[in-house]
Order: sequence, then structure tokens, then C-alpha cells
Amino acid sequence: MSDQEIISQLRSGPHHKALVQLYAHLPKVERMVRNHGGTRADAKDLFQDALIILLGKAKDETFTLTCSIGTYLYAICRNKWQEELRRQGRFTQELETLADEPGDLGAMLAEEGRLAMAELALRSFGGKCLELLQRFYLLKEPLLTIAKSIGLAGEGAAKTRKYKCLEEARKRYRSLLAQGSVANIQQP
Amino acid sequence: MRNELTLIELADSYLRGEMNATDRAAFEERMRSSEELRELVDDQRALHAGIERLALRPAVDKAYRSYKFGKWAPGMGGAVVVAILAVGGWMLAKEGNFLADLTSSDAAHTEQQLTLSDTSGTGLPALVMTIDPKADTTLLTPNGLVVDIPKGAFIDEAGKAITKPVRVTLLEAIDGVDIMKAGLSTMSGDTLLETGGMFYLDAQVDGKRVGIDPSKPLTVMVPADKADPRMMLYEGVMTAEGIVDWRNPQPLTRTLVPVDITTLDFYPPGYLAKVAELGKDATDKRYTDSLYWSFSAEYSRYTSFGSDSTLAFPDTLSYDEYSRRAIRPDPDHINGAFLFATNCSACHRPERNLTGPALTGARQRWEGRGDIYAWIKNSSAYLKTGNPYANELFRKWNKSVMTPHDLSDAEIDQILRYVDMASSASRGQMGIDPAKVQAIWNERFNGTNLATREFEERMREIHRTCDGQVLDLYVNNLDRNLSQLDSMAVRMGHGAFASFALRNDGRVELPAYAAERLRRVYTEWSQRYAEAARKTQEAFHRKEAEADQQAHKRQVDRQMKDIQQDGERFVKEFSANLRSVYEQLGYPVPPPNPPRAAFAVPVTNPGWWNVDKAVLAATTSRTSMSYTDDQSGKTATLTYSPVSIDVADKELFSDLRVYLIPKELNSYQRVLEVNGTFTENLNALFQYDLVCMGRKDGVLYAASRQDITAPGPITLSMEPSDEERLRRMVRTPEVTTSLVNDLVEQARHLQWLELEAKRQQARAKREEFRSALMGVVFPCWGEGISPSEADRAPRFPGGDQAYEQYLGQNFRYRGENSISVMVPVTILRDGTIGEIGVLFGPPEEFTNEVNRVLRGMPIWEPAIRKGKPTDEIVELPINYYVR
Repeated sequence: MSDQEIISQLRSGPHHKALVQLYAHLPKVERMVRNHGGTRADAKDLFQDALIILLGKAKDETFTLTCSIGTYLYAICRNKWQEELRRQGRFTQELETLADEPGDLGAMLAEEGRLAMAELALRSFGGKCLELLQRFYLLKEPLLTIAKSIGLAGEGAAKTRKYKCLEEARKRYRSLLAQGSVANIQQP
Repeated sequence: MRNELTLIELADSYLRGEMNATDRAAFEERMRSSEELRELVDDQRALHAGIERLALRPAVDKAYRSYKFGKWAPGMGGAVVVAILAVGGWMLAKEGNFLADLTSSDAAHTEQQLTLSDTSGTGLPALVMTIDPKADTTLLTPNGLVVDIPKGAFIDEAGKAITKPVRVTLLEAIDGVDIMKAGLSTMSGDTLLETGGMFYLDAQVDGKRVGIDPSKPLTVMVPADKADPRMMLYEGVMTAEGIVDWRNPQPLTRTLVPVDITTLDFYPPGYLAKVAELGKDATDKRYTDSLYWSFSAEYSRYTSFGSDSTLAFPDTLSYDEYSRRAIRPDPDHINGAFLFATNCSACHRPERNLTGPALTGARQRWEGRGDIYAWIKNSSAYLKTGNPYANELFRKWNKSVMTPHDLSDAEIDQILRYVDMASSASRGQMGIDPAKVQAIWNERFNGTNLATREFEERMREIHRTCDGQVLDLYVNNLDRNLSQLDSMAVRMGHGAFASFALRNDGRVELPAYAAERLRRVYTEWSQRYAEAARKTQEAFHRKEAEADQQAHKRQVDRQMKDIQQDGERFVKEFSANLRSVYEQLGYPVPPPNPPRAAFAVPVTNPGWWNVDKAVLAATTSRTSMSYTDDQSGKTATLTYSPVSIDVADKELFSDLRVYLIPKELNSYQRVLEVNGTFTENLNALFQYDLVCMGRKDGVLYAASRQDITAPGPITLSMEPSDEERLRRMVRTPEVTTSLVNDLVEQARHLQWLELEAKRQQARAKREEFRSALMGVVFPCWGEGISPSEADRAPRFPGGDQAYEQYLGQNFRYRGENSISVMVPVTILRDGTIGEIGVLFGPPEEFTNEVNRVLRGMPIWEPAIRKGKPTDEIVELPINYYVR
């Protein structure tokens, strides 16, 4: 699969095959992380974050790659790991960069930090709220259907519950931002 | 609705693109003026993305597992295990030989509540399943762990196999996150381990933990990116502080997958390529097998040369013996080597005759014949005791005196042990006996370590070591892991096996009794195959030697006949010349002499003596002469005129023969080719016919000419012919039938010579072919060692033992005293007995019997010098003892 085919599969799905193929770039990241005080698990986490970012980017029709996917993923991981080391006060040297890395990752990664925070905030409360939000925003189910399946009175109740969930999520998001914590996201 | 919620709703519809253009413009206007609103919208956008991201996580994880599993699944052998928390028992499945995929939720439950004290608090989801222990079960977990449970693996306290359903619990923490989440340490004592993953197994029946039959261990394969040979399996022990300490590391083994052994390649490296290069069909395994096998004969011949045994078969050692020998060199052995080097090496070698005899087996040879210690310490003094064996040795080795040695009995023991061991060690380096390879390369060894690609790789290296003991090591220890044997091979001095040892290759499970049985199969069949190869080759050599001998006899017979015939012709010609001269001089012709007396004519008058001498000289040299008698003044002449004969296309014929037939003599004589032309001097007294015969492509060709005259040249053109035609060509009224028959006999001999040349060519070709393969089959033999090249002593068929047996059965002398002699005997290149040395001293009856018995010996294997059989003198011992 060429890079372009991978991107188009990530964009329109199903993306399992493309993702499996992208893991071929994991060992390079592992090498980089393990050479700089991290474990294989750290590398996997970073890499999966990078995949999530790529998946998000691919959805954007205007997204174009200025380098190979491998380099792109590596660059994201390197930036993130550097940041992590800096956060832990263990930062000693710039990590090795690849020749054809895109130069414009900085802004993207700044935003990425915030998205990661939002993800963490949502994960932290889980339960019915998360189910409702995912069904509504991702599966685009009608509010009435959602209400029935999660045991709410009706459409109105579901709508109110949705906004309350968003408000709560935002509150947690804000507090996380205030803490400034960009710790590794633990997976379920 | 509260204001905040309204704003959220607005932001939501804005982000979802649900606003109409007017509302949208208004909202954007509002955003520009309100930082709070902008922030709200940004936050909401982030949360939207967060929802999406969260939903993507499982997909990304699933892809990770596919990636990991796919990476090692095809090889299966590449898995490396890791770390065990506690081995109590085992895990899940359904019945039968199938792969239960625990990712499907109905195949496995997730139990939050664990009752086992040493797993509580790990927070890892436990996979629990009930399996039927009476069937083989294979499990595959979501993380790619594969667990193989052989049937009957679980046992109760009494050691009996459990038949009730077994509840199996499995926890796995394969990657760092799981390990950290479970609070598992990666410490072994104070050392930090790099972990490849951890797993925990438990098996229970009715709430009681069950054991695992040690002979049927479960096999766990853990996925790994690469097989790191340093990975070890640690046993987890819960410490008082509640931390797991990893102890008792064991190397992990790579699983061996047996294949059909006949599909593997156990030949020496390059063998098949060489066979193909020599123009034979290397794809016909039956041919290449039997060809390779046949080289066992060369192996036997080479390795047994100089030793008493007819078939050298290195001792088969047990694994323990190997380790003992390899790890702790015998100090006696080292000391023996040193003593040998300082005291003996000037005149002796362990395996080779030098000034003195090869020392290998010296102790055995002296057994019952005398005191070897006294002999070594002071040979001159010992000789004076009259010991027959000492005196025999002294005579045999040119009466050279062995210098006295100041050695203790113990030191002599060390030396003698060293020479025996040194020779068996160096015999080990003589290559791999093809018979041994033949013995293992068959279905009997299917399903063992040998029937694996891993062993195939080692086999190549084993050939390179040229050490048969390495092969023995692997074959005699089929119930051990290959890696253990690799280490042993390294300790035996073959460093190339280190890279194998590092791979931690395991073994194909084999019950001990089966390994024992195959050990016997190996020993027995190696010997049988070697014996068969040796016998086949001996039979072949014997047949060849017999053919050689017959050929030799036939050649000699022919030569004798030719000499006799030519002698008769000469006498006739001489008589005719003499008669002619007498007539010319006017003397009475002497009566015809009996042919043999022709050279001893009684002379009564001195005058005749001169005449005869002159005629004899002329006849012998075939030159003209003129003689004037002093008394009568008359002159007599004999005239010989040269004639040259040419044969068209003579280079096309093998062994061209030209014969002159002087008709008056009713005889014939061969014309020799000198400088490319057949020339002879014709006696003017006779009329000559000419016949020429030769062979081409198995057909007789002939040409003839009647009544030829000098000087020629006469040109003959050969025509295809047969005996009948030849008879017609030479038959004239003047010649007798017996002369014609003689010439036909010559043609027959030509035919035989042609066949004989073909036989020799075939043999040379065969020798060349085998010698070309020798370097590949026995890579360590090298130049000057390989039997086809080597100098080799003559050998009694069947070896020294057979010689002694032969003597025992045939020697009939019965005297009163013991007699020991060494008899020099020439073994001719065709294996027959030539000159037998004269014995002085022993009684005549003894000497006669020695001659009779030695003459009657079977055909020997002749000496080989520079690759060719040659005549050689051997000294054969004849020991006659009176008890």
C-alpha cells in the first residue's frame, strides 16, 4: 500500500489493514525511545497517539503529507517524547531528527496537546455520558433512539443530558488544562 | 435552560454546521467580541475531537495485536518466552485440538474477583476457562500468547492424571503498561530485568490447585519482536513485602518443528554440486545416496590402515562422558603428551612409523609377550634376556637401539595412554563416515531432533569439523536440547557451534526409551552400512586384482610364445644361411641341427668356426655379409636388403602389427616400427609375404601383400576384416595351417588387448571420478592424504587379523622350538606374491613351510605410490610358538 492509499483508507475506512501496516514504523520509534530513557511500552503509547493524530488529520480533506508517513509518525513521536523528557526534567539533548521531517509540527502538536487533554477528560467520566456523546456525535443516532436505549424519558431529556455532559466534560477539561498535565494517557 | 447550556447548544450547532447563514454570521460576530465564547467554542471543538479519538483507541489497539501476532505467527519457532509469575497450573479451552480465540467474548469470561492471594491487586483481567484435560488443547489469548496443553498434563496429589474438567486461569502482562498497571516489578534481586512479558497460570479442580505432570509440560509461546538469545524464563516468588522477585532463570528454548527427514540435505557441503559438475545426475537421490555411501569403504580403508582393526568405528560415548572429557582434561593425558614429546618423539609417532614403530597399541602388542616397562627403560639389557618379541622388534627395526629412558612405570603408563588417546582423537578428525550418515538419514529418525531444519544446518558444520564424534554426540543424545549439544561441541573444540548454542534451540520430544533404541539403531546400522560398503568395494577390488592377474598371465604367456616362435624362426633362418654359405664355399652341408643345438655346433676344423660366427652375426643383425675362405679362396655372400612398409591412416589403429612371412621357412617375424615406419631387412634367400593387422572400434582390420620386394616403400591400406578373411589373406601353398593359426592367434591377442585397454580406461575413469569427489566427501583429507593420492602400504585382504587367521589355518610346521622370523616378501603391483626373502638359520622344513604358505596367500591390496599400484617389499611376521 502506498502512503497515499493508506491515507485514503484512513480517511474513508475500513482502516484496520492500513493501521496494521503502519505499525511497521513502530520499531524505529522504539529504538529512539529506548535510547533515551524510555521503555518499549512508552514507545507503543507514543506511537498509538501518533496514529490517532494521523487518523484525525486524514479526516481533513485538505490534509496533505509533505513527507513519508513513516517520517511523519516518527517526527510526532520524537516531538512528544522530547516534551515528555522535558516535563520530567530529564531532557539533556535534542533527539535525532530525520532528514525529511516536516518543519511545521510545532503548532499542530500544541493543538494536539489540548486534544489529548480533552480525550482524557472524556475518558475520566465514562459511563452513560460517554455512550450518549459517542452515539450522538459519532454514530449520529437520533436523540430519541438514544434516549430509549439508555433509559431516558424522551428526546428532550436526552438533549438536556447531552449538554450537561458536555458542560461537565468541559469543566474537567479546563481543570486538566490548568494542571498543565500532559502525562501519558493510560489506556483502558 | 440555563444560559451556559444555551451557549453550549449554540456552539454545538455552529460546530456541527447546523446553523443557517444568518444565524451563523450573527454567532461569528458574537464570537469576535467575546473571548469567553471563543474559548467555549474551542473547548467544544476539542471535546468533539476527543470523543472521536477515544472511539479510535480500540481500533488502534486491535491493529497493534494483529501486527504483533502476524509478526511471529508464521514462524512459530521464533517465539521467546519471558517470565512466569507462579506456575501452579493452567488455563482455558474447549475440548479437542483447536485454537480458542479468547478475543471472542463468548469463549472467555472476564472475572474481576480473583480468589488467588498472589494475584490479587494486579488489576489484570483474568481469563478463565474450563477445559477437558483428556484432550489436547491449544489456547490463543488476545495478546497473542499461545498455550499448548497436552492431554493428561494435569495430575492430582497422587500423581494421577485428572479426568474431571479443570478450571484454568490465565493472567498476562505482555507489555509495559500492563506490567506497570499490575504493579509487577521487573527486579531479580537487585538487578533490573528487561522484560519480554509476564504471565500467570493456575489450574484448579473443585477449588483445589492441581499439579502438572513434569513429563508433559505445558508449552507457552510468547510473541516477540525478535528472538533475543539472552532472554530467560524466571520464576516469580512473592516476597514478604508483596513484591515479586524473579528467580531461577532458565534459558528459553526455540521449538523445533520436525519435517520429513528424507527432504533434508545431510550430504557434505558441495557434494551434490560436485556430482553434477562431474556430469552425473545429482537429482537422482538413490544414485547420489549410494554413491556417497560407497565412500564409506574409503573411510574404513583409510582409518583402519596401520591399525589392527579392519573397521575403525570411533567409540560411542555417552553425554556424561563427553562432558567429563571435554570439561576436565585428564591431567595424566597432558603429562603423557609432555613426556612423549620429550622422550619419544625423536624416533616415534603415535600413529606412524618413523625410526621406530608407531606406538599406538604398543601395550596391546606386548601383552603376554614380555615386559614393556623393562623394554622401554633399557632395551639393550632386555634384549639380553632373550625375549623373542624384543629380538623380533630389534631385527625388524634395523637393529637400531632404543636409548635407555629414566622413566617410572607410572610415567610409562601416562605415555602409553596418551599415544592411544591421541590416535583415537586424530582418528576422530578423519571425516564423517558416510555409513553413519546413511544410518541416520532415513524414516527411522523421523520425528526426532535429526529431522529438523535446525539439525540440517548443524550437519553441514559437522561435515566441516571432520570429527565423527560430533555426529555421535548429536545422534546419541536425541533426548537432549540441541543447544546443550551445541555447547558440548564447542567444548570439544569446535568453535563454529557457538553460534548454534546461542540460539537456544530445543528438541523434538522423544521418550527416553526411544532415544535409547535409536542409539542402538545408529551404532548397529552404521556398522552394517560400513561393512557392506567395505565388502562391496573389497569384492570389486578383488575382482579387479584377479582380472589384473589374469591379464598379466596372458601377456606373459603371449610373450613367451612370441619369444619361442621367434627363436625357432631364427634357428631356421640361421640354418638356411649356413647351408647357403657352405654351398657357396663348396663344403658339404652339415646335417640339420636340432634347433636348440644350433648355437653349439661341434667344431672339428678351426676354419668352420669363423664361418659360423660370421653367419651367426649376419643372421642376428640381419645385415649382408661376404666371407672369403682362406683355404679355397672362394667367397660366400648373404644379402639382406631393407624394405619399408607404410600403412595408410595408421594413427587410427590401436596396436598395429606387421608380420613378414618368409615362405621357405614356414614361419613369420614381427616388423617393428622405428621412427614412425615399419622397416626390416629382407633375406635374399627367401620369398616374403606381408600381413598387417590392427583394431579400430572393436573391429579387426587387415591388409596383406604377396611376394614383396625391397626396398619399397610398400603401402598397405587396411580393410575391415575378420578371422576368416585373415586366414584367406595369409594362406598360400607354401605355408602350413599351423602358421595360419598362429597368425590368427595374434589377431585374437590384439582383440584381447583392446578389451583390456578399455577395462583399464574404465578403471582409471572411476578412480579419477572418486578421487575428484574425495575432497568434497572428506574435506579434511586434503592433498597427499586422500587414499587415491596417498602412499599406502600393501594390505593383506581383511587386514592383519585375517593374515594371522590365514597363518593359523595353513601353517603346518611342527617343530620342537619356538621360532619367530620376519620374512621380506615382495607384493607385486597386481597383488600377487613376488620374491620371498631367504631365511638363514631356521630348519629347512620351517623355511619350506614358510615359502609354501606365503606363496599360497590370496591376492593382496598392492602398495599405492603417487596414486599408482607399485611393487613393494613388506616384512611379514611368522611367529611359531611351542607352549
